[in-house]
Amino acid sequence: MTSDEELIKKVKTGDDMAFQELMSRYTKHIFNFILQYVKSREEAEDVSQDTFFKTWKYMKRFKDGMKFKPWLFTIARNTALDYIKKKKAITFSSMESDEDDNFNFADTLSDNDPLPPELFARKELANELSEAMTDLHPDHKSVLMMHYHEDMTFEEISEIMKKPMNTVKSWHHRSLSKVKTKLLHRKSS
Amino acid sequence: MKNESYKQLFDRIPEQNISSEIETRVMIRIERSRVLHARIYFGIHTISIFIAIAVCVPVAQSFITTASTSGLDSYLSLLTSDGSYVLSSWKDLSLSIIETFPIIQTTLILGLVLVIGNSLRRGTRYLPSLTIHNEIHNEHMVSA
Repeated sequence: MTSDEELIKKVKTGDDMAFQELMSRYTKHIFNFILQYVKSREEAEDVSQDTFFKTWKYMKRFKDGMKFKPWLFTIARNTALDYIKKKKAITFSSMESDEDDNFNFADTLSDNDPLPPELFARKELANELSEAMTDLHPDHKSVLMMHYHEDMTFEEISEIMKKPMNTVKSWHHRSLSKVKTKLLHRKSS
Repeated sequence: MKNESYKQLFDRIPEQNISSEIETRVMIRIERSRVLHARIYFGIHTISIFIAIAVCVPVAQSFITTASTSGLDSYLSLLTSDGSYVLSSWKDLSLSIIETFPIIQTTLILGLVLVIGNSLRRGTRYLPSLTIHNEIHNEHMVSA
């Protein structure tokens, strides 16, 4: 399979088929990522469209040695934040979440407690998990999704979020604790 | 370290499917952007050509006037009429021609010719992109 970087080289020479190939690889990932920031599918489709258009437009800024996936997700996040700012659906100050920048060292530790196996036997687990994540800050949800769903490293995520790695780890730990508490609380009730 | 049980947990979240039309819509947007870009640059080069031609007319008139008042035309006519004089006084004749030659106007005319040539070369490059390619539109119409 042709690598992303090889396809980008072709895109830079004006090859539209190569860009279509890149899009088909990432459309679903980007759409699901943007859904963490916007409320509806329609909005997510619009923002995804803008993201890919900007990716094509700024392709010349993609330099050799850069990784395409984090770069694309950075564009997607910025586009989603711009969209939210324009819509004023969420105040921008709440999007910044400054309080979370004051990380605690304990927060940066990975969560080594495995989840109880019986949790996975629950039929409604997917819905419960989605519900448990609804109250999380969009950036925090994204950290979880990127780390566990997209298999990205904290380094890559911090690059995308433009935040120090310790802050990202702190967000990860706190949101994971919140989700876990909600799921276990639901289980016990 | 990534805890595998959490990975399993997040893998349970169903992925939402996106409309297949989105890729076509992005390609149409790209095509439109290209067409707009081509039209803008084609317009700029066309205007440059017209301006250069418009400026060329008074510069050429000035060239003719200067050449006749400075006596250049008489020196030039000597070149063709009296061969013996040209051979005997070629040094003086050359100096006179250089002195009377309208250098500014000639430089301007050469510059304007360069502008016209460059704009023609660049402008024609945008010609194939001035209209939206039918294939993408047809594809979009079929998917719609």
